[in-house]
Formats: sequence, structure tokens, C-alpha cells
Amino acid sequence: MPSYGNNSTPRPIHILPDAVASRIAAGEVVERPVAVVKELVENSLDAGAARISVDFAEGGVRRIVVEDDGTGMNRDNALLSLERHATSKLEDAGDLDHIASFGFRGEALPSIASVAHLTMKTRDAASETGTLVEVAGGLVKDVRETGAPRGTRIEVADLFYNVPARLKFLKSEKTEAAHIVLATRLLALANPSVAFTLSSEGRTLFSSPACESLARRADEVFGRGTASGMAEISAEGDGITLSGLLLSPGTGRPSRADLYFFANRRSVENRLLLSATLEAAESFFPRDRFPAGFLFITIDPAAIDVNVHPAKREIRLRDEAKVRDFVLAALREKFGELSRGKSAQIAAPRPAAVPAPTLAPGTTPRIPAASIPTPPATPVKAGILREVAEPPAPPSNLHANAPHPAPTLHTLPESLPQLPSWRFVGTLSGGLVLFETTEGLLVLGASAARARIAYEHCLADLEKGEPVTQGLLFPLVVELSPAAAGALEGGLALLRRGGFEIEPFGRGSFRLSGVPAWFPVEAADEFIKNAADSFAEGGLRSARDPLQARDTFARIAATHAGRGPAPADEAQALDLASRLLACKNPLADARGRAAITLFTRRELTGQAVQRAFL
Amino acid sequence: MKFTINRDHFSNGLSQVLNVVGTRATMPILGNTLIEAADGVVSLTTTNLDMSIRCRIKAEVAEGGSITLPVRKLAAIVSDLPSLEVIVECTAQQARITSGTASFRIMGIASDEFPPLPTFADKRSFVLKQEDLSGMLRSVSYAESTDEARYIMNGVFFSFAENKLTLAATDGRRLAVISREMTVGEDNAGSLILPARTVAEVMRLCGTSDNVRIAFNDRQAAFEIANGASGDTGLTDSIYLVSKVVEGNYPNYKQVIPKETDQHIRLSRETFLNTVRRASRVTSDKNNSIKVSVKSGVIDISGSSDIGESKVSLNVDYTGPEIAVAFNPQYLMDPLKALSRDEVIFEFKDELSPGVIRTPDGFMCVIMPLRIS
Repeated sequence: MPSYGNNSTPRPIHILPDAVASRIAAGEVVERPVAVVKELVENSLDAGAARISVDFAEGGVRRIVVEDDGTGMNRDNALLSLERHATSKLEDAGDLDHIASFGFRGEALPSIASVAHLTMKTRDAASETGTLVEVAGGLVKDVRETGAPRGTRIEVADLFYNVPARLKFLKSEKTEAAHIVLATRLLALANPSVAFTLSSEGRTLFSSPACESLARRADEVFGRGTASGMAEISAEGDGITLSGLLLSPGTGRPSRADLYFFANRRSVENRLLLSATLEAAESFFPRDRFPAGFLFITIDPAAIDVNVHPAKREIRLRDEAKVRDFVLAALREKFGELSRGKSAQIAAPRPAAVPAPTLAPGTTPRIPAASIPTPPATPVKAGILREVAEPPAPPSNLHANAPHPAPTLHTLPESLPQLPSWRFVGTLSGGLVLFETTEGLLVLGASAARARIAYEHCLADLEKGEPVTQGLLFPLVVELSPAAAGALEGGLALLRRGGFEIEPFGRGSFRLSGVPAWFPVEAADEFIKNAADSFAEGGLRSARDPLQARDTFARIAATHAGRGPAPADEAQALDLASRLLACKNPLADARGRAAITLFTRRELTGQAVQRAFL
Repeated sequence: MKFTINRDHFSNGLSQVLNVVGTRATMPILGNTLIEAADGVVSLTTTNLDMSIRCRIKAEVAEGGSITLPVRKLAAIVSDLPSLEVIVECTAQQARITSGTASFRIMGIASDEFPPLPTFADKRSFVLKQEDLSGMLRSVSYAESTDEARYIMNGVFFSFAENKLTLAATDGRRLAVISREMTVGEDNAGSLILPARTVAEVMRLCGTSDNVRIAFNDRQAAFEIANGASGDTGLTDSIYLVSKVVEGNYPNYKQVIPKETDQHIRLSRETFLNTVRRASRVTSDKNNSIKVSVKSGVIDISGSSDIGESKVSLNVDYTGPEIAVAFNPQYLMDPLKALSRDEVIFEFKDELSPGVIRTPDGFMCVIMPLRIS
């Protein structure tokens, strides 16, 4: 058995010397170089700067310089700012309940100064000359007068030079640099009215003047095109404001990495906001695809506790349920609006809905199956949600007070024989079909489109439980391994419910004598094998979660049904397009492949195209 | 090589072979036609490696030789030449075409790079009228499967046996069969599966009067299509088309032909077609089915979908029990459109059994019903 300290004699307890204590504290605040950047930029913002520039070298370890044109400090304040718990942002403990500034603990500067060489050059409007302070390892080495513009410039060099343990734990220079870049971007994004410049080792990473719109700032800071496909949103209610940029429904992004949250302009990671956003996005993005955006929550400072995490990355909300419900409802409404807008834009040049058919007397008119999606799983508070509790499809619910919107895609009968009035441009390899509309260029992915149509058929069949089965002249015998056969036996009921006529045929084989009318026979063999695998893996265990099983089943079936070449001619292409448009979500198939995408005229005549052609 | 040729003859010849071109970028020569001139005849050949086609046109050949030229471009140029007299002069790799005031120089590829036409000892051969062959093909070819995964069904099955020629096509949901009597010697009997593309090409090339000779072995089939006497086409000799066949065993279609169908109704083909088409106007992609309900003296064909409902009635001579069967309307309309006889017989048994459309001259189409649970 290992023993610890077995040769030591008891030692007396004593208070740590100040230098050691501050270095330990510094370890919490200044975890890594990016923390220095964040603290300094936040100080600049609190000082009312209109222009902030950040420069760093070697991942910030060698050097970090933050310069602003904020209020600056006189000599006394400059020295005081380096003392622990010296701050201008908080008067008493009561202020902690409503923190409106970024900083408040008075920890940042002294902490940084205790683990680096810090040089501060500052002047406030009242002073004629500036002050230069040099600090190393927490000790003031030099204070002198200097010429300086109004504002503050702080240079932090040789970070952690006196904390080798910390230095050892830093990640590669590249990683640290990436953290600094991201943090600066987020700070810049949250403060579009402040001009930001980020540079490193002589290279400007981004430089953005004060921006009027968030979209413009996102493009300048994160790179051109970041905001394309995103729309500015804003919603207010119950003392909470939600604003920012939100990716329109469609194919979404492969991960959640492009979702950024800000609470009172502070970039935060918050499980609650994330889960509310993902839930709101659920019916608008395919499974395994995610929304993206920059979402700003503004809330009474008293309702939020930022003093939870040393680096203030996490926040605690006083009334979690309230915020969650608000965000969920607001985003759902926004996603709904955006989805309808996008679909309407795609379907724009289409003629209006055909009048309802007049039926011969004696026949019973059939009401089109309303495309009402499953209601949200979580019960929501009526007071907060107003009329928006329902997810996307029926537009009337979403515009209780607004005039009823013009009939869009979603209100049309599901199967219009009417073809869209688009101009068929041609096909591209890879099964892509091009159309020109008044809005721009539409690109339709044939196999994703077919898969989407098949998926919705399949789900509808499964839900209604009255599939139409096409009998086969030559029954198909599918042979399976014993394990797969056993698994498939358990799933036969689901297959039959979906319209497959299938029965065990002895010795691990199955006889298929009918397939759903929409299903291509040729894909049947492979589909049965895949379905058996899925049953075996438990993905289609219908007893446990019928909804999940249905969805998985429909997705597999649809993928098989989607295969095939691009439409051969205009009539086929338009037919496919009109069938796609009759779907509840025509934008992508169930796996997230884009089924139809619009490139607007503006995008097409954008800079890249202009440079090439004009 | 040098020859003088009538513009319209040349153009007509090119249009015969134009369809059979390869699209592979790796073999540009497949986009070319092989032009060979000798003894007062110019022959044009194209191939896509699966199918090859050759026709011969009369011309004044001053100097024999051969070259390959891009066929589509050449056809466009020739059809647009200003004068009827066209002079073609070639070196190994380029051609000069002169007609009236126009002259063209076109780059080609040497003829020795052109894949040779497959030659084969035809084990079996038959002669029948072009009109009959194309009519039979038209009666069944719509039922071919277009699914590449079931390549065996991607074509029309030919069977020469028991003193008749039988053609069959199926996509697994419906089966179209037609047969006609002809003399088939015992050692001449055999079968083949003709690929869908070749079927389409044969139908296109077959005229109305002359004969067509079919020869085939296990791997290939050849069609010699005599040129029609109508008009001055410039074609001499027959058009020769040789194609790979689909190798494999065609499904045993005979076993799915219902042995007995309890009920049958004689119907005017056109009226039946119109009735089905009208009823199918309301069907949708999601609900592409119509219901055929027969009762004493009347057939009701009805459809329904989210759009609405339809019901079209047809008075018939029927006294059997009431039966209703659902079908994909397209599968009923396809044979009715392809046939030419005035009267058809519609046979059925019950809602789970296939329906059959039949004519007295050896045609039948077996259609699997849709079952609605």
C-alpha cells in the first residue's frame, strides 16, 4: 500500500504570503492566455471604448497587447487598479445583485500582473500627461510620466514566466491562439458598435469598424458568408429580450458548434439555452443536423448570476423555467416564420392554389389531411407562449392577431397536380436539377427529393395504418442470417403496418409478395436486410418507442426509395418538384441532405460571380 | 477517299445511325461515325460498344477509303448544306466537305481506331415483317423494368418455340405478353432478352412493309432491317443493327399468368381507356390507385385522394357477382394505349387476384392489384 507523507512531522498552519495567495488566485482567473485577452477587452468595454485593438504573439504567451480609447486613468487610479479587489464598478455587496458591467471583482489586473510582465500606459481626459506603470510578478517596478493618447494600453508579456507548472499545462501555441481568436470574435460580435481589430505577429486577423448590423459584424469578424442563410430576429416579453442572428430552417449544420449564446452581451455557455434552442429547432431541422446562430438574451441583471465561474463562462439564471419557456416559444415562432418565408420564396412563382373541387352530389368530400405536426413534447406555459404553442405548420396559429397570411406551401393540399411555373434549366451530374424562378436559381437534388417524398408517404402510411400495397408478380425471397431473421420476425408487424406483405418462408428466409405502392421494388431486398439489422440493433424495437421506430423505419425506407438517376426531361423534373413542394418540409430529406435550395438573384450576382463574369 | 453524294441521302443515312453514340469522355471515338467508301456505296457505322448500327448509302465513289468523323456535328452540317451535291474528300484524319458555295474542313480520328463491328456465327435466324415486329414490341415494351438493379427485366424477352414467337416484358408488377404463330424449326428454337435501348432502336428503325431478319446467339442479336421502298432514301441494302443481349435467365413469366379467371367483360378499348383516364384525374402521387367495381351491367371506376373523388361509369354486358379491385391506373392505361384493336377483354377474379387485359390475337397483360388494408 502506498503511503503519503509518512516521513513528515506535523507542520504548523500559517497564512500564505500575499505573493503566493495572489498567484493561486491568478490561476483561477488567468487560466490561460485567452483569459487575459478577455479580461482586458472587457475592461476596455467597461471604460466606454469606441475602438479596441488586440494583438498577440506566440499564442499570447509571449505577448498580449490590448489598446483602447476609453476613459483612461490618472496616475493614482492606475496604481490603485493594480491592487487586489480595487474596482470602479462595484460599490457594495448590494451591487452584486445587478451587475451591468463586465468586470466587478477587481481581480483581473492584479491577477494578470502577478503572473506576467505587465506594462500599462494610460491617460484620462483630465490629465495632461499619461502614466506608465511596469509590473513584474505582482511588484511595481517602475512608475513614470509618459506621453499617451487618451485611453489605456496594456501589454502583458511572458505570461506565467513565474508559474512554470501552469506554463507546462498550456496547449499548443496554435490552440491557445485559436482560443484568443474565438474569444475576441465573440467579444466583437457582442459589441458591434465598437471598432475591433485583432492581429497577431504582423498579420491582421480581422478588422471591423463600428457596424450597424449584427449580420455585417458577423461577416466581418467570422468571415464573409457567415450570416448568409441567417436572419436577424428579435423578440421581447416578460422582461426578457431575445435578439441576434438565426439560421433559417433547412439542412442545418453538422454540429452545434455554430450556436453561440450571449447573456447580457457576455458570451456564455448555458445548457438551458442550448437545450431550449435545440428543442425549438427540432421540427425544422433534420435529425442529427443543428441550428446555428448568435443569440443574445437581455435580461434584468438581477435575474442572472454571472459570479459563478471564475472566468464568467457560465451563468446561473434565477428563474430558469421562465427563461427556457420564453426562449423556446420565441425561437419556435421565429423558425416557423423563417421556414414559411423560405418555402414561400421557393414556391413563389407558382400559381395560386386551385379552387376546391366541386363534387357531384352524393359523394362525400374528403377534407385534406391537415398537416398538423405532433405537438411539442414539453408542456408549455400558456401565459408566456400566447398563441404560439404550436410548432410550424398551421400558419393560422402563429398569426393570431395578424391578418391571415396568403396561402403558402403549407396550406396547399398535399398533392396538387399543378406543376410549378418554373423554367427548367437542365440537369447536372450527381442528380441535380436546375430551375430558374423569379426569385433566382433553384437547385433540386433528385435523390434527396425522392427520399423526402417517400419519407413523408411512409410516415403517413404508418400513422394512418392504411397503406396501399402493390402486389408482386414474382414474390421476392430474402435470405437472412439466423440472428437477423430472428430480429426481423419481431418486426414483421411494423413492416406489415407500413405496407410490406412479408411472411417467414422457412430457414431464415422471408417471402415478400407485396410492397407499399410508393416503394420501388428493386430496393426491397436491401431494405429488408437493413431493416433486419436495425431490428437487431434495437433501433426499430417497436414495443419500446413506436414513434422512434416509425421514424427510423421511414428513414431507411426513404433512403432506398430515393435512389435513382436524375429526371430525364422537363416534365419529370417539374413533376418531382411539385411532389416535393407538397411535402411538409421540402427543404431537406430526413437525413439532412438538401432537397431544394434557392440561390437568390442577389447571391448569384454577388461579388464572386461579378468578379468572374462582369 | 473521295466521293460525291446526294445531300439528302447522306443526311438520311446519318440520321439512321445518329442515336447509337457513346457518351464516355474517355473514348471520344464513340461519338464518331465510321465512314467507309467503296464500289459506289458509302457505309456509315456507329457504336456505343453495347449496340452498333450500320447503314449503306449509294454514292459516286471516286477513291475508296475510310475515316471517322463526329457524327452529331456532321449530321448538323450535312443537313444544312446549300447544294444537293456534296463532295467529301478525306485524308486519314480530316475531311473536306464541299457543297455549292460552302466548304468545311473537319477533324476526325483515323478509322483503324474504330472498334470493329462484332461478327458472330448466327446460330438461329428468323424472318418476319417489320410491321409485325414493331407492333409486337410496342404491345409489350412499356412493361419493361427501368430499374438497373433488376437488369434481367430491362428489356423484352423473345422466345422462338412451339411454332410461335412470344415477346414478354415485366417490371414485377405487371406482365405484358404477346405471341404470334410462325414456323420454328426444332434446332432453330431459342430465346433471348433484348435490352430496352435496342428495343427502342428497333422500333424506330422498323418501317411498315419490308422484312426484318433476326439472328442471335447466347451473347448477341442482330437485326437486318430491309429499307422500305417508300421514297428516295438513298439507302441501299439493309440497315444492320447488332446488340449485346441481356445475359441471364428471364423470370418464369408463364407461372404468373392466371390459369383461370372467373369473370370477363368485353369492352371497347378506347372507351375503357377514356374511362380509366378520367377516373384517374383525381389520383395523386400519394394515392395513385383507382378502384374498378363491377356489378350487373355496369363498371364503376373511381378514384380518391386529398384532391377529391371521381367516379366514371361504363355500361357493359356483365351478369356476374359484384367485385371490386384496385389498380395503379397507369398499369391499365399503358396496354390500352399501346394496342390497336378495337375490342379488349378484361378478366378478373377477386380483389386479391391479378387483372388481365387480353385480345383475341395472342396478347395479354397481367396486372397485379393494389391491396388496401
